Amino acid sequence: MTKRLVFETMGGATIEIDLEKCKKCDSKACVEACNKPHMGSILGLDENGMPQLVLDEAKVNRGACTDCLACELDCELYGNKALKITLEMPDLDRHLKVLKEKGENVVYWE
Amino acid sequence: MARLLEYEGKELFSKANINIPQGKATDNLKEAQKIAEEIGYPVMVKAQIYQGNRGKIGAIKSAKDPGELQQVVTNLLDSKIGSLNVDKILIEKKMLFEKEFYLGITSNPATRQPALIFSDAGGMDIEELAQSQPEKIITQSIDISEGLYDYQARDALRKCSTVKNKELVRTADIASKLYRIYRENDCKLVEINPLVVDEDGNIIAADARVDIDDDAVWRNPDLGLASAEEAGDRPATYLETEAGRIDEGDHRGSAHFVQIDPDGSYAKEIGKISIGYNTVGTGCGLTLLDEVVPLGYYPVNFCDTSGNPTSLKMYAATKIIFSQPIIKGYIFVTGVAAQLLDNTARGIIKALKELYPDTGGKPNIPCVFVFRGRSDDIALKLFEEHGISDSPMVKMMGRKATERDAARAFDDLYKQWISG
Repeated sequence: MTKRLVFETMGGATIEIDLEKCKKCDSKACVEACNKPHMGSILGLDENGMPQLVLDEAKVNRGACTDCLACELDCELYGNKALKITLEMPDLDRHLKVLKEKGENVVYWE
Repeated sequence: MARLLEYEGKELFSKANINIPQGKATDNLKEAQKIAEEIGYPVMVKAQIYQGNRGKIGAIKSAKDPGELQQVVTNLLDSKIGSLNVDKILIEKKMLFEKEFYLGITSNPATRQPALIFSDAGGMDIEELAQSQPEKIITQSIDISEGLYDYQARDALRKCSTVKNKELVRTADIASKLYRIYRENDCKLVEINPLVVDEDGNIIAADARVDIDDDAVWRNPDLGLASAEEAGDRPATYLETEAGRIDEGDHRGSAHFVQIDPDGSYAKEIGKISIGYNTVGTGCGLTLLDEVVPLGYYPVNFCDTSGNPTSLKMYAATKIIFSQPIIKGYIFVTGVAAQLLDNTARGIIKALKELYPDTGGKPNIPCVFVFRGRSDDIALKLFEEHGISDSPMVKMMGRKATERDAARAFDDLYKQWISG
């Protein structure tokens, strides 16, 4: 089974790190990004050099994670695309569904 | 807009032991017929929309028998009154009444206190009445540390010479109950217009208006309202309710989004081009409006993302703005901001990358991004690193740019895009 690190943030996002992919990543850009000035510093490396939470999840969820998205963006550019941040937006989905049913478009569908 | 429909307001009234007419809300003819049979004809059929003066605009009709009811309900349900869809109707027993009062509790910004407002000229628009016959309106401030006791309400109503004896006592009792509804539900306004006195002397709330403080919606989940910015008399759109969620449970910075022209019809009517709009700081937003509108563009939304919002908030706001179906461009400008603009940029970049996965985040409409303030250099660099700055549809600007520069840059970009 694929090893994953999954946790939730105060802003309602879910951060999921595919640790299998991290094994092939030299940069661990997510950890570096998280530890820059003004960032949350919630990610560190474990004894095997893999990303881990250095704070307990309750603190992360109470705002220790600053929801800065830097881990995902830097992982995408300099890492192994192992980290995904998702935010549920149910009413946006409903809006888009209604548009589709009406045959209307939004610019990014064109 | 955090406002209850009439039938929802009446449910609150009923729970507080304020008399309401017999009736029930429905969204179909079959149930409407059943309700009418139960309460007996004649009945009133009332469109449940966020609109005052419904009687004058054909949103309230009476039906004396099943045939008339079928006709009225068929015409009203799923129709459009102004720009509002009628999804629900309230079927109520038609009442005969002898008097109509106005009774309301509202927040008075001048005194910073709630105020009891009463008039014996109910059924009329209270704002109109305040202009034409101000002497007909009684107002009394309420000390929130005391509340509104029955005797205080009675004292207030005694100023009106036409309300006496049992009527006075019963109306004062309703005023106290109305005040409790106002306080317990964080209301801005609770209004009964008209409050009627029937043939038997019963006092009944024939209508209900309940407006909740937008910032307190989250404290009142039982009301079932979505958090959304004030948007006039129309209900919030899905995009607005989604935007209303951005700040829920997360105090770090804010995102205020409202659709000024949800279907773009107004922009079209005045011959302007619809654009998406986001600024850091409302003042900056207004200054930019002064520059873009004369050039022929009309922001169909207003959005202010300031107070150092998280990147995640910026991401959500950007996705929402781009999901408006009629925009032909997008402008993002920060005032000279103290907030971390690199975080602001990250949110926008993630949104663009998700919206435009095939181009790595390069948009297909003209977009101007102006970053001015703390970490603006990092913000601009991030757009470069992610390969968005070099898009032909994108113009990046830094702290030397003014709102006028931003508007002109957008105009140039738009003209290039249109010419092809």
